[in-house]
Amino acid sequence: MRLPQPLRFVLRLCIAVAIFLGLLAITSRIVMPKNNQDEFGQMDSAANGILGEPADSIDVVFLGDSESYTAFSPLQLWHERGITSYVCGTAGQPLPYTYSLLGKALSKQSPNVVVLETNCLFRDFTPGFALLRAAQDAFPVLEYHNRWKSLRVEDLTTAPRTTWTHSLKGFSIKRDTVAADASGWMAPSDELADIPILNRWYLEQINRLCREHGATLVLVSTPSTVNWNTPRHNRVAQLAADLDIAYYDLNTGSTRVDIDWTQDTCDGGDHLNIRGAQKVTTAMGSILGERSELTSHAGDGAYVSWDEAYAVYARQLEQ
Amino acid sequence: MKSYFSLTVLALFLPATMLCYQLMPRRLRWLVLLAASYIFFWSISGKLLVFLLISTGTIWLAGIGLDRLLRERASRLRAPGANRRDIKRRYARYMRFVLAAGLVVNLSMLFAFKYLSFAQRLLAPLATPLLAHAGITFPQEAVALAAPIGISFYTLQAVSYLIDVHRQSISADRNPARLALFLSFFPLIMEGPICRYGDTAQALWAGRPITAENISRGGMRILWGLAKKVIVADRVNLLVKTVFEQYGSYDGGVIALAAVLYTVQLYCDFSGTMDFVMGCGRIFGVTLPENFKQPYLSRTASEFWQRWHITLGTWFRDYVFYPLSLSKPVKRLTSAARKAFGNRMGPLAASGVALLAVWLGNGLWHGAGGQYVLFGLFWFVAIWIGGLTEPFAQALCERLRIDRASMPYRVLQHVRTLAIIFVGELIFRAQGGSAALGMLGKLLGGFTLESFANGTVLGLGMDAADFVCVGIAVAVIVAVGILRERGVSLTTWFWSHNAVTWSAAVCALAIIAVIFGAYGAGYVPVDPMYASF
Repeated sequence: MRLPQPLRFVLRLCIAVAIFLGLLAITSRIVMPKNNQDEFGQMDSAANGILGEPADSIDVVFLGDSESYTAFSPLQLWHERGITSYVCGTAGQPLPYTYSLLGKALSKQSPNVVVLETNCLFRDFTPGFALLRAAQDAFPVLEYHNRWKSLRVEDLTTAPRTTWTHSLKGFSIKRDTVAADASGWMAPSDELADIPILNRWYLEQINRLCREHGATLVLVSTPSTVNWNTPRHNRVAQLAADLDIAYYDLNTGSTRVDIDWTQDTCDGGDHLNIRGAQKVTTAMGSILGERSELTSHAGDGAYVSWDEAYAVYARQLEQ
Repeated sequence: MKSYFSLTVLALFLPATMLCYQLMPRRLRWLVLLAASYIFFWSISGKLLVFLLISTGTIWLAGIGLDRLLRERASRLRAPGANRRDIKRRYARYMRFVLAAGLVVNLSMLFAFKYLSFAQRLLAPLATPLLAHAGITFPQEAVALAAPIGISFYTLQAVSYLIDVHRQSISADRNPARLALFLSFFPLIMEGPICRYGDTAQALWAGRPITAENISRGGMRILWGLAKKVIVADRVNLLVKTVFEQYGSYDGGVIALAAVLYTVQLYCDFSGTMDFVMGCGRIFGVTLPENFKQPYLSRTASEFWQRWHITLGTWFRDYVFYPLSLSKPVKRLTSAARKAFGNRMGPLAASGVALLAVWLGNGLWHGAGGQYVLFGLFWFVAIWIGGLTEPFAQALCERLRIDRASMPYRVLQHVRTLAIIFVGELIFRAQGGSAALGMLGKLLGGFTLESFANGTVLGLGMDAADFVCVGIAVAVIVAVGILRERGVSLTTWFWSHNAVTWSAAVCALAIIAVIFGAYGAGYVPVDPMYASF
């Protein structure tokens, strides 16, 4: 019996979709980096280094754009508070990618607190980008397709592993000093900066994902004369109140960190240098230390590797 | 939505439009297309939509005005004792006035958006001192206005509509919304093709249902266009950009390579977008005119422009070349040339006037810059000289007993034409007139293969794997083009086979585009190239 034309078309479409999804899955398996390092083609290896940490060993995950990985030093936090953390920050991180990285981190870790640096709440992205990111998470070939140029036999025979971790746990040391002009920064205002609807939706999804995995989402605004201002503070404070999320603005109020804008920034107020990062990390340590979800692992033999990592970090700082 | 090939368009906008279109009653489907077109326009140009509305409104009013004058004229001519000659002359004058008014409004907007700063730069050396005497300061800062998307395309469509109404080859449309759809139809707005009202409009509001066959064939065409763009056009972009922006740092060999790759990029980008346009049109049951017909198979410069951006060429032919050629001054010139150079060479020589106007217009349509004027002049010379020397070439071949239909001769013609094309596109892409001349100078005076031998070319944005990828892709594109030239349509062939064959073809094309596409990390998204013209 010959099927009617519309049904034959639906059949063709179903067969095509099935074949295409199958091909995407197979090619994803082939091109995926076989370890989470640059040499294996891993993108954003520093952020993905969390996958190389022992399972369920990270107490705090930091997420966000370059503001996060220049401001939060996990090894300093370990040294001062005995709290293990990792910065899964990436340059210009849009919220769909934040969600994706959080999902990856939570597949191996059970942090008690997830800290989201708030600059990315104001970063625009299109619905198409969000769709692409979701598709890339489902089918990594959409992200790693360019590895066709460097494929080896092992890519066909080896399963992906994640054995590597970043020596500074995702932190990036900035040693330059370029003074910022802080006049007018955080001037009083009643204005509310705009946050796109899609960004708010992603924040809600991130919050939901944290709750599903037993983590508490915390919003933090790191000091920046370029990226932060009072209207943004006002908007985030309102959003945090609406969604019942704790919010700490290190630019103003009782949680303000005393940044010397002539000494503590590496690029005129956009990002902090190591001096600024040390101040922010100490402040962050105080905030996290007061949270009941976190306990110090200082002296715990299971975390000896953190002491070793800190020793290497301290030597780097002395250089 | 700055590119037709973005996920926002392919996965959201187009499917949503198709769904709304199919769910609507047939007589209202064209309204869905109109709404979608305006949403698309707004998403790119925002409030500049008002200029599209002004164009639509003025063209509609002018068309109605011409229609009314025609009916009035007919009525007066029928009246007993009418002075027919006087009535015809008077109404011809009125109609020319209405036509001129409509054209001036629309062409003025195009001029303001595209050519104002160019004109300002050109006039500044002369106007500044002159106006200073009168105590007027000529503005020194260039006035650059952000243009509405597609203004170069929809203005030509609007002009063709009005002229066709004036010529009485079509009737004016009394429905402004239908005319609005003709001017704003979203697949056409960014890069054309430049459609004629009489050929396209009816299909736009026919409301034909979306069928399985149309989705399949249209979808396959869109996929083919996507593959050309992401695999080839976007891949060569970085090398082309690097060389054209810093040509002084490279030798003639690298410049030649960049010119060839730019031609490939432009063809794959523009024809790839046209594949989206045609595929989209197919889905909605609208047959749109083809803009490309395997231009790389051309054997003469003139043939190239009958195969490349076809609708632009025919627009200039019908609305510039023919009217100028048939104008009294050019007819007088043709007579004089016939007497001086004979019946064959005379008209050819005189046609140079109209041809020059066409090519200056063509060049300037693409942009306001010295390189576009040079581009137009280059093609004028190539085509005009080609026409003038054709009789001599024919005579020479007969004398030397060279068979012009033989394979070696045809290959020579292809190679010669390709060389002309590459030089033309080099001029087109150059960052200004002096850059174009500088690059040509290096190409001719500093040609060397040293950069190929020492591997410099592999460090300009494309590695060896990229070159292999582009080479294979271009070979496939040429092969498909040769099949099309012989009347074989692969979309038809695959559709006529069983579901598995069709599905496998679609999936193979899609997965090849996914793997070998130049997108994501390490690549810069490339906006449709012709959308900036």
